[in-house]
Amino acid sequence: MNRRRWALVVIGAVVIGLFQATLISVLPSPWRELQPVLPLSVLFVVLNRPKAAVVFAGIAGFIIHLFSVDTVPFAFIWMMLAIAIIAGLSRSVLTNRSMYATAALVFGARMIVQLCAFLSSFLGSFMFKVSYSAPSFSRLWIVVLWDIVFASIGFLAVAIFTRRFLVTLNRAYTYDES
Amino acid sequence: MRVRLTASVVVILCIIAVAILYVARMLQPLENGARTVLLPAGRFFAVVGSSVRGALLPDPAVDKLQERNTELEARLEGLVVDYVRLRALEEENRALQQLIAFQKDTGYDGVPARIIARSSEPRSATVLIDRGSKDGVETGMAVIIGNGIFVGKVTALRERIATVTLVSDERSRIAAAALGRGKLFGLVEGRGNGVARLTLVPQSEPLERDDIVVTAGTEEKIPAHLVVGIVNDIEGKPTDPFKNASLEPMAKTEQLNVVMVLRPAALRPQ
Repeated sequence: MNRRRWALVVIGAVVIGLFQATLISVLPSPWRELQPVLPLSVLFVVLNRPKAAVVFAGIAGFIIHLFSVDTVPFAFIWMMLAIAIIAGLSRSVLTNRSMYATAALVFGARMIVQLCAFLSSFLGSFMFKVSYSAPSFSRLWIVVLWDIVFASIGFLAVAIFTRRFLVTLNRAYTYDES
Repeated sequence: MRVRLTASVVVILCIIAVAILYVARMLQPLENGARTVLLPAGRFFAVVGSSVRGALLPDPAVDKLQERNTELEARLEGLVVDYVRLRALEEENRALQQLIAFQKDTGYDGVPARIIARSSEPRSATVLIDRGSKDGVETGMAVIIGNGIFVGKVTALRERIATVTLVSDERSRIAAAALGRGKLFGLVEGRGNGVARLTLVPQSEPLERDDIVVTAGTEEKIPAHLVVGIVNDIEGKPTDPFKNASLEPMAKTEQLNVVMVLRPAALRPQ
């Protein structure tokens, strides 16, 4: 990726992070459960841009950490870790690039983040003697549903506008630089 | 294969390094700087979010009812505040004189603040405001709306932002008094989902439905006589040592956009 694309990734991460932390958080439920950072990061992984995905997740997660009221510690670190694991899985286990695979990867990433949040909540109260509110499972299914819908629409949009995932197309005509 | 392994190790090491820096609070200056730079954008997003919420919430079928409800709530709010003042004048003239003297002596002024983010957990009622320690805000200060309706207190602080724990939050505990009696008689505990309860009221204390509960003033940075809510249903047997009551908070937290942090005038930044 060239510098211009990296700059776009960074600016996009800041804007989407602010969008999730401030604008979406003041909306009524179920709209407030829309959390676009993770599905977008997974889309970067699906587009074969794992470094951009980790950077995007890290920066957007940091912005969320700056402006979020739900004080789960290390949220941005867990997000980066989840995307790094998902990037590894997408190269070794779930190697096909379909809408279902994307949905599965997003689901996996969300589960990792959720588990890490619980872990950090537990560790936070155990090590730092501070009670952090762990995200509840009651609203998790709405978040997961939004994740899958968002990632599927994103995948379809990328597929339609870039024709990237057409199996009949020679790879020489794709944008893949790797 | 080796390149991938190296890359994975580098990424994991970077993540661990960031975690260590975060725990050691070495990221604090970076966090404060980033917040200062991004706060205007955060405010803008919050304003847009409030407008979008306004567009999402109303149902065309109940528009008029909501309008009427809002109007009645505003009137009720005004009447309750008037009632508070009248009762205080009639029954607790001396206490009011003392309060006025106290306000003259110490002086409280309000720092207007905009809510820029909210907690997404239903049990937790916390909001983030765009004022922090640089604006003279301190942990424990009272946050009000309108003419003295208490909505919560500042519980966490950064340079440019602060977390406000609202009355209905599960972790919220406020020393309460009954209007006109001016002494501590119970505790207002948040129960999540916009609900609060009045607890630990001694059986000997008279308590009736529609009684107005105010702050007791026993907490250092929370003045007395700020309206917290109205008593709904009283629970408990006459043989119990204490009685409890469900409390209707005066402020509808979902509709809050702008609040006021009560700050002693002495803390006003020069």
